[in-house]
Amino acid sequence: MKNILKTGIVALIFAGFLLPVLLSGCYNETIDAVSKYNIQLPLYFVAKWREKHAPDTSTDYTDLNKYKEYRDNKEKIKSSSFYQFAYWIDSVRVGPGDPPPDSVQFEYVRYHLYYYDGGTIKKYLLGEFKNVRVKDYYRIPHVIPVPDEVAKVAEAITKKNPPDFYTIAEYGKIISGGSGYFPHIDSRFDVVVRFQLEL
Amino acid sequence: MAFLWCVPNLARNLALGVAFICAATVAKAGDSLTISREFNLITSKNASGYFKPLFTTIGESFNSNAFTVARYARQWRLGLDISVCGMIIPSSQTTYDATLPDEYGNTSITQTAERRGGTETRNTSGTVSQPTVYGGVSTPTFSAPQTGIPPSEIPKQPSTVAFMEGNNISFMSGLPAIQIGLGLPTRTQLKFRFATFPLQDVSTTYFGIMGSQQFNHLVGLFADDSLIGVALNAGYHSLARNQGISISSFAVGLHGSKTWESGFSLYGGVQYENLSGSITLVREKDFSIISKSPYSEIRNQEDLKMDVASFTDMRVGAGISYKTGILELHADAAYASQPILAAGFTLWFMSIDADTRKNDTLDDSYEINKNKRGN
Repeated sequence: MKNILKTGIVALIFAGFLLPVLLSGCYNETIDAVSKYNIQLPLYFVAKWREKHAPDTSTDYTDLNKYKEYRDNKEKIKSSSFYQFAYWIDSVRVGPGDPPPDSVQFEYVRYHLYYYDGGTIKKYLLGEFKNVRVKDYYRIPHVIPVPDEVAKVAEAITKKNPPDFYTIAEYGKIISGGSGYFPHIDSRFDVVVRFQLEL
Repeated sequence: MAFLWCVPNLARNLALGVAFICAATVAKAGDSLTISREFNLITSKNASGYFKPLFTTIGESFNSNAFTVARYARQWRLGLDISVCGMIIPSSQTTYDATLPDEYGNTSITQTAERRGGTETRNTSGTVSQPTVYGGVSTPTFSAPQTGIPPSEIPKQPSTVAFMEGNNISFMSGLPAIQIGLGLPTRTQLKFRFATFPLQDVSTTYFGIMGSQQFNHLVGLFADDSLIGVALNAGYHSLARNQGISISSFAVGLHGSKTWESGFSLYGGVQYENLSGSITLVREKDFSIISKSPYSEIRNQEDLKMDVASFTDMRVGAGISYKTGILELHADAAYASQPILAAGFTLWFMSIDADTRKNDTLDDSYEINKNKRGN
């Protein structure tokens, strides 16, 4: 009788306390860990310069809703951040009498991001490429990480309706000589956004 | 009360765990499993590599808690075992070789670049290291196609590719095991596991059967010490859905144990195990939407077919058991590709002596053994 009582008490303590603690702790933490995960989504931008003189800017607009992958997952998005972006020149034409495109060099190319928060414009520098020689950037991607303080701006953008923002491609002055006039520059800009989703 | 709370949580965890394996399917297309949208960024080959460590965890879960003490009484016995296990994830399983789009590396078609830390690498072809489901942050590869087609809203192919990230998991809980134990007077023990749950409204079934047979007494091994046992064990597990999931696992092993009169036992064993199968998920078919993926498999909305395999084929482990009355507590550790910690308890509700008293054969009851020995 004494042994049965002892066994019963041990069984009760184990089954009623230790195991649930073990399960609720370990298992729930694991399930929490696997029920949230990150995906990355590349966003594509094309900056079109037409009939411009460097230095100058061009502006592009995007609404994340135009990306199927974003629309498919937006209800599950718990957080988001910009991660890396790459820039390259896709096609370029120089003005009459100017040096050939390969020898053109810009002092810098900067990419800015801005969005409307209520009535306020919030603007950030996404990244800067210095001494941009067209030869080095012609259909050759150059990757830079998005600074931490700008990366989290994606969080605010995805919470807006619509989740839209603008990018500005800013070309610095020409340091390679020539008029600085360009009838045509198309440049590409891919930015990868990290989204944390919840199953 | 706490135990009652625990049972539905176990079921929920099991369902969630398996749901994750099945890539969190969300919609129904006939009886086929349809891939959830967030996983529509991955190819079949990369999915197999990305999920392989998780499949390994599942396989090790199947084959954990299959045996404890190798000295099986000559009794009819019926018990309930509830066990848990967890796997330590080695760093080698936090990355896999992800396959890049075919055209990457061919600089006449595209120029690519990726940045890891402060280093930019160009024009990698074939594969690139990316995190598994247990890894960390992935690294995109940016692609600048060399064609002269003017840029438009649809990026030229092959475009930039991004990969799924991991969850930074260093310790993963395995699936809990709720199993029925059946002892036979032939010094045989069988364990059964069974669970069924709906996945996209279609029943999905898991079952496992494990058997252990003590044999040292048959060959005269440790004949003078009936508290030592050596046994062979084997197991088979199946996880299947009519369409979409077909996974099986088997294991064979050898284990032995030494028991003391106090009720404590030490046990250990070596086991070969295997996991194989496939998971097929149908991609959402919507040809009005143009995918920007550089992978033709994703652009063409082909089915996702994952090969299921495990890194683990061998495990060596040891543990301790304590038996008092109807309760047996057990805990063990095993070295495998993912080292395993396991613990649980068995309640032996029914023990019917066959002919142990009559034959003066020591059995599993310490009280009876004491009486037989006259102490």
